[in-house]
Amino acid sequence: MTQSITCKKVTSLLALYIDNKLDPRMQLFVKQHLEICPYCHKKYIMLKQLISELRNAYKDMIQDTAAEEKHRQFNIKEYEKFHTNLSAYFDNELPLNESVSMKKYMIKFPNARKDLEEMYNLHKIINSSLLCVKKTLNEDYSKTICYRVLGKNPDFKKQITLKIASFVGIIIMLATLITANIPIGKTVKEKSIKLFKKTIYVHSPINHELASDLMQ
Amino acid sequence: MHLVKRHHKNLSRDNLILLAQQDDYHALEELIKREQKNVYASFYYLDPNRQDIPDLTQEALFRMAKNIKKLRDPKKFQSWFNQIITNLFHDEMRKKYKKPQTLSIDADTSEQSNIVNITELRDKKKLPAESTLAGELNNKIISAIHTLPEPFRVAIVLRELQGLSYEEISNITQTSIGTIKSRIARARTKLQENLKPYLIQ
Repeated sequence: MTQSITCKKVTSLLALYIDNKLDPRMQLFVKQHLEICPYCHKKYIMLKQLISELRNAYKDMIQDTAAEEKHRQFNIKEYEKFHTNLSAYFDNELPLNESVSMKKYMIKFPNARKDLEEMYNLHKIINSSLLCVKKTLNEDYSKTICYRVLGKNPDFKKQITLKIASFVGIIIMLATLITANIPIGKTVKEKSIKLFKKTIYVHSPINHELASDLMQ
Repeated sequence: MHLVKRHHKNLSRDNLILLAQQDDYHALEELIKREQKNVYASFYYLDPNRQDIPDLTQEALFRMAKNIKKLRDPKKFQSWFNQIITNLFHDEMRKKYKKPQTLSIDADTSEQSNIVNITELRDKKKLPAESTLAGELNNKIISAIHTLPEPFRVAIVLRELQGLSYEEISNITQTSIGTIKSRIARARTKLQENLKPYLIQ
């Protein structure tokens, strides 16, 4: 029985033998042959090693690509998360743990910082525009609104001030007229008492006439 | 009298509000003086049609001055006042939509004037207020904000110009904080797209 299987046959069957794909009888024949034939046994061990190495390498490769794929997907997701959270991060509205992860992400990918800078620039130009718009308002509504709240006529205060102003003005005019009397009166006394006596007027209008007379 | 006024100028806003609540009209006046430009700017960015902005501003200031006693915490003034502004803005928008302009079929269409009156479009480039503004960039920013859909515009104005927190904005607009967060993020991306050439420095 053992002689019935040759080394050549065993060599061709080895691959199947390693995978246990022979029928039990043949399996037994090959096994028995390997036990007695050192040449075939050596071949068998070499082939087994080669196959197992290849299989391991293939497994590793598959695992590697799977991990890589997973890693890349994770990155895109991470970036999307980063991008959606960026606005809230800029406004300081993120919970602490999320803002820490945002910071970590920006340390990991320095390019991500550019997004944040862009947001900051947007904020800056909007605010400069706001200042320009604020400047275009030249009116002051404070007084009119205060009066509206008080339920008064906005001109109410103006009227009072006008009255006061006119009153003060009249007093000043009177005062100037009275004070103007004195020097003219003095000159009258000094220079022409006679002329003064001839005049009937006592009030101020006369002073102008008197003055003009004196000038002549 | 002069001394009193000068005194008010150095007061903080919170103190001005407290004084205004106790019928101090000089404080109220000073408060309005400080806030009016802000209100004006808010309406300027909110309302793309830019009609009656001075009227809206005055109305908002008046409502603020009238109801100032109802404000309990002066620290919440900013959000309270912006509530008034946005409510007024929405009221105004509603009024405009309630009176839709119509084109009569029976009217004599041979006369060009009829059509022109109704379908008249404002020349955005030649508005008097805008002509005084410095630069093309400013106009670009304003029109970029105006092209945003209304809820996004409101959110971005309250955030960027008024500096309100997301919580305050969500209270004012009666939406969730998550919605506000996404609205602001999307508004920003839109603005960044539109203003791209000006953002790279």
